[in-house]
Amino acid sequence: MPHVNDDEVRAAARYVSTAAAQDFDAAGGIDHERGVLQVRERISKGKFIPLQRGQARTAAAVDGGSAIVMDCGSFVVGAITAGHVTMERGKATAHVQPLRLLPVSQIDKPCVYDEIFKEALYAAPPDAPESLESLVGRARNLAEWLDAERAIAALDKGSLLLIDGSLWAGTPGIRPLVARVADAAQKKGICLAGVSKQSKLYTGYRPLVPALARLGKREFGEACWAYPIDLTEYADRQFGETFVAHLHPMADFAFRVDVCPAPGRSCQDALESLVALSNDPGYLGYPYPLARVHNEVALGGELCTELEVSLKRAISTEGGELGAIEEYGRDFHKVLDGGG
Amino acid sequence: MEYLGRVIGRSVRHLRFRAFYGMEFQLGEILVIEDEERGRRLLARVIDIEYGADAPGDDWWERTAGNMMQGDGKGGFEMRERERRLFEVGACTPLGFVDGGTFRKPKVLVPHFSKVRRAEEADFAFLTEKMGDIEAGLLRSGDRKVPIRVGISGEAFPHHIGVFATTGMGKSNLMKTLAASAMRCGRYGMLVLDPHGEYFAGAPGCKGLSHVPEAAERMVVFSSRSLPGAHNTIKISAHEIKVEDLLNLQEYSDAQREALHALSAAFGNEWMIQAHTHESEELVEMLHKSFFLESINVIKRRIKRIMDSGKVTRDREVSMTRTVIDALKSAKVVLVDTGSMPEHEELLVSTVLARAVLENYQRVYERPEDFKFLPPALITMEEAQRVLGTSKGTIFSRIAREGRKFKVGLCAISQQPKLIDNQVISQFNTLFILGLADKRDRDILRDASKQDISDLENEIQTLMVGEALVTSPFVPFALPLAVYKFEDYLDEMSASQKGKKQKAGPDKGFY
Repeated sequence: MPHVNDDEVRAAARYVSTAAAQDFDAAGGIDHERGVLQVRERISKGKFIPLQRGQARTAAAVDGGSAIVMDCGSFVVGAITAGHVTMERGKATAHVQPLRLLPVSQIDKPCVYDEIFKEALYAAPPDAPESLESLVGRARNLAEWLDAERAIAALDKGSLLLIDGSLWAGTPGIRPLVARVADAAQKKGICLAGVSKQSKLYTGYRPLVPALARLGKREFGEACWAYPIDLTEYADRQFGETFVAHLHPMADFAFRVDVCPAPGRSCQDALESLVALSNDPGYLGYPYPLARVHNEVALGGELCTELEVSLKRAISTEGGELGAIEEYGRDFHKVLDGGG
Repeated sequence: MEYLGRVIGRSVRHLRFRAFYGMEFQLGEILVIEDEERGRRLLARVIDIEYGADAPGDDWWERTAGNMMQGDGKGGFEMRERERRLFEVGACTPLGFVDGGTFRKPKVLVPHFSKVRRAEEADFAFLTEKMGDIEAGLLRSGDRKVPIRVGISGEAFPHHIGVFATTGMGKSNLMKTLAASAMRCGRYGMLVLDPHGEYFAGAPGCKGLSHVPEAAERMVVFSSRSLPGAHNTIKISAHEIKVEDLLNLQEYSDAQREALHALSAAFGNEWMIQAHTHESEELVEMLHKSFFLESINVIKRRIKRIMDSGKVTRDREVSMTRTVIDALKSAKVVLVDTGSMPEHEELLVSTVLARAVLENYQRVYERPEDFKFLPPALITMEEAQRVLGTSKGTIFSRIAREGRKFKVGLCAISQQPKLIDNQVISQFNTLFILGLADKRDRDILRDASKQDISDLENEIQTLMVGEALVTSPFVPFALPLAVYKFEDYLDEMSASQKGKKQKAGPDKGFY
């Protein structure tokens, strides 16, 4: 165990305390792909919008799941899926895409990505992901937007489509796909809302969402509210209007919510519909359909283990040298950490 | 077929299954697990029920309950998709496989995720042939009655029976039912010693054995008090009382004990009459001045009390024991109502009768041709802990140890089995376990039972009035029993007797 120097601890504490107290005059640290954005606007108590519980309406939620099933360093086998859950009159129906396995290596990474990208956007990608892991992540992101299209096609006018994450076209070249989804929703009279579990909006040194949640609680106590965030300077990537919203009076969390309301409807109307969906006691303050779809598409450890076993069996059947592959995938960290 | 859920684990001795939300099943309920791969069924008994949820994280429960509690006040909440997210987990102990008509102990697992369903009457059909001719009630699954009659074989009487329950849980009802069934069956003798005087006419609001349709033909009654029906008076002969009987009933000093044995040695089976007749000084002389006058005085006082009770005669020929034994040999129920007698007299009469039965049956045993046709006899003893506290000494302990060979069984009834000697209790092959509040009592029975009931602690704790578990080497597993309500059983007996009479009546068309 390393020795802990008290001076080091005190210095870190000073930094954190100062950063947490910094207001909105710092800038920098923007990462467009990951949606790390600085909000320069000063927070104003007057901009909080009180929310009521809106009408319950048919809602669908889209999410995706991904995992690296086999990692040999120079090549991996990734797994992705996406799906949506539709909730109508309290009944949920899940539509989950079959699992897609992505075997990819450092060498053929551009080709593999090119193929995946073209499937979604009918055009070549402007770049290639830096790592195999980010390729898998981007593939999942594309799968999610494609599934959003499928969900819109199945939904009726007046419905609400929830996306896990912001309506942010971060991946290079993906904007036409997000625009396609947003247009389809508009044309069909469907409201689109992106809810981010973990926002990367910052104000100076501070994370914006918890900072607003703290302020909202102090000012309004146990209430539902939304706070509009001006991201017009990022209009080339951002879709809809952005809010930080507190969707249940007793919820501990607030979330970033991006809203593209249906024609003739307001953002507030959409947010109040979200309030109506966010009162499940298991996930208080978070729209239930998103919680549900998250569980539907999550590629958990057991499923990954099962996949790995199936994969190894198939490798043997296909004449592969399983022993070598297993050796390539050995990781001494597992030995150190007691897993190997 | 009511589909309840599917198996989720975990071993050949302990199964767990996930049940649909809202699908109620109970502790003690017997369920069926379908082994579809091998076309057979596994019966399993629910021994515990737990909460389950498809929920992320260990703290989901606390967090969700907290949110609900907060939502009760403000904002409200709506638990969505309860049916999908919430469920119950049943823990079961496998009872055995039913494969065709045969029942086999569970030594292998059922396939993963096998279907679990509620058991139906047909699932228990294999039990019918294993149920004996002395009925006790209906099979129970949880608190649901299954129309399968549960009973024990009268042939198992000599293997001894224990009936254990806290007061008010239905011991008397069970005993009356067993006695009524014995009368109906007419193949076994049953000596019912009734110190509370509750069996003949029944307690207020309840019926008694006198109401059994077959009672007039198949029951002989003795009582120390006046009863509203035909009965005989309790009388035993002083010749039938042995020194050991008194030693087991009362405390005696060493000198007094020796004096008693000396009296017995000097006068044989007339010892009590002699001791009662002669003055103390005379007795001291007759015993060669081996004992102090004070010792003899104590013995005389006690013997006088017994002789003055009116239940003990000086006449060798005037005794109920002959009639009792004859009735038992004729496969009748003998009810000895000692309700008005002090405890020491009641115990003395019971002891004398029990010994007379055992010794008589022992004598018949010496004549194999006669013994073959001798119907088994069961002697029921209430508050049995009074006479079974040690493995040696009383006639009842002796019957528990030796009676089996001579077709004499003991039915010990007690609310405190922990006070019964372990060796004695281990002799009871059949146990009727009704509700027992004391854990030590339950522990004793768990160890004494001829079937493993260690998993049934929860079930025994939750037994309601009239519910019981029957353990016996003669049944395939500890059977959950809903004891007949005696009055209902009588109604059924009357109806069936009426049916028989109608059936046996003359053919109207003949004339």
